[in-house]
Amino acid sequence: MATEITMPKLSDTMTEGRLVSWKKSVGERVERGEIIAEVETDKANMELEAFSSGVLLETRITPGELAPVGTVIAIIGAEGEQVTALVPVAAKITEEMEPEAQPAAKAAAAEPISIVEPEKPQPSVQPVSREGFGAEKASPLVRRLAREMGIDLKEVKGSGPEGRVLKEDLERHEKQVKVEVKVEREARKVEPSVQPTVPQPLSRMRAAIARTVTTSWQTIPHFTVTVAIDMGEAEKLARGMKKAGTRVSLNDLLIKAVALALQKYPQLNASFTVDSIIIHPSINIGIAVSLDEGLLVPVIKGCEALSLKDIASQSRELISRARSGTINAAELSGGTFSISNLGMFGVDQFMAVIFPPQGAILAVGGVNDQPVVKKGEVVPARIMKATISADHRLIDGAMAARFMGELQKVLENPVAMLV
Amino acid sequence: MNVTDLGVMEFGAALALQERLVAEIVVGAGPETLLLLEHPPVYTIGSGGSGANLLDPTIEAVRINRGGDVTFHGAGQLVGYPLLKLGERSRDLHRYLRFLEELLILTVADFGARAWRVPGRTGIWTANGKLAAIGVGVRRWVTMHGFALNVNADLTPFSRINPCGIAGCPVTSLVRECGVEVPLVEVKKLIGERFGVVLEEWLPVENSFMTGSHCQMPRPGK
Repeated sequence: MATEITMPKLSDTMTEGRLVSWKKSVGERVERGEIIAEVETDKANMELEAFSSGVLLETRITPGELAPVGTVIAIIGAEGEQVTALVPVAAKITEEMEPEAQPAAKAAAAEPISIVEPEKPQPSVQPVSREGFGAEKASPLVRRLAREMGIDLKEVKGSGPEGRVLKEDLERHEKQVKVEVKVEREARKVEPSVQPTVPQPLSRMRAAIARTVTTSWQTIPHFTVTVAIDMGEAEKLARGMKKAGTRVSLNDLLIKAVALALQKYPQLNASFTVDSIIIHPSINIGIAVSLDEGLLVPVIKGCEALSLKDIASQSRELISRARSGTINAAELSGGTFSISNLGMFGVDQFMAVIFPPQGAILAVGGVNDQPVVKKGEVVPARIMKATISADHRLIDGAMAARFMGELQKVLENPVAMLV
Repeated sequence: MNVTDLGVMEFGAALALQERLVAEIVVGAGPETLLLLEHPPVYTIGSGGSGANLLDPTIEAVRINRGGDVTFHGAGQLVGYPLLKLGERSRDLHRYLRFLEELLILTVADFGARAWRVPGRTGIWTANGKLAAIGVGVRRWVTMHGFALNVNADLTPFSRINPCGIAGCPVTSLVRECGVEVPLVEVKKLIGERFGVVLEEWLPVENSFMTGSHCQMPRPGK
């Protein structure tokens, strides 16, 4: 039985890896535990070892290429094995999984360890051909690849035995087609064309944001829950405190209220990892601060122990430092929950993207006058809509709803925040 | 943490030593170790690095199994090779890189230099450029290679390469940042003392009983 080698996940934050080199070539014998490739993520290289013995039947990426975590990058199987068996059942390679012993592997395993098996390079291991599978001779793997690449096998000249189409033939064909298209395009260029677009290089901040939101959107199943909150009392409290000489913004009240609601529902102050849920003992709330060139999210740490006044002064300090560019890495890291407020732009409500590895983010709109019915009478109210985006792997709808209900309760009865 | 001061050692000899110690750690026959040393002048290049970043064709660079591109090692540069069982400490390569950065940022701060991370550019940076380079190799989840902090190093050899594959990348040193002489031995002593503390904070050995949804595990700085 053949096994697939996949791009390993070497970090919670790794989404793709670069193949540095193959240490074995196609057709070469591989023993369990031997290093078959080297992959790179960031500035760290990992030697990839084989978890099963056999022959390296196929490699699917070339050095320098990037592959998403989990993609099949190579296949190990018995010498001359038909890779057919693999196509329907994609056997995922795991460390626990013992390969079903092939005769060759068994023989190798039976030998005493001191005897080193001589290397037997097999430069051209071709899968055994199968008749009657279509007019063009090609392995099912090549067929699948051709399908994925959108290539009609009829158009490809096979270089294998009996005109068999090999993986290399597909690649050559694709290159050729590309060249043809290019020539065609160049021919068209003679005509005066529109102004060429000049690509702008990414700023560091843009690149970091792009990376973060892509990871988030690709890995976190988001769902949202929105509630309308009457901010009348909260506004009164803020005004009252201002008169008494304490500057507290609605944003500060919001942070404090979120901290209280998170204390009641710690499941929303959590991170999802591959095999566990981490509930963070400390409530560290990130505040999205928009800048001309992007955004920064300074973090107010230990909110569970901070008074409303503490939160107000820390948030003022951090936001002004984020705007002036004097904030440091420590102040931007360690968040366990975030808040994004677009109220000042006249936004009614919106949905925010979660910052991995956090489990949720709150998006708040502006406070607007709206009619509401209280005790059977239509009265004006100061309504703010708040939307939570939650990681569904961690948090279910009812849990998010309970949290939002608690947040609403605290903000509508804000005196609780002074205690 | 087992910290070994190797003084000045040729790159090749140090690499052989790393290989041997890693092999021991892999089979459980040796303890985790931090090697601290200086190298005689040498250019090294990561296995994914590009020869095009050697601007002077007469330079010879040792190609090794670490991440990153080309860099320079020489006197006045503190090199650290942590050989750790990352498999028991989070199995997270990015987190390991962030840990090395934290260790270096805290250490240079003690000498009065302010350095920071730049997302996507592993290493530590100041307004004048890169203060320490990081490049790591991992074999069976045991780490090798590590960091190189310019303490009072001569920075001119960096001008003959694109450090870490970044064209025109400025490089700085602790002495330049602080404006006063900083003895390498002091930096070495401090980093040796601090290493284990920051390591336990960032990458504690995971207790196999501490799994499941009830586990409460603070993750600093992530």
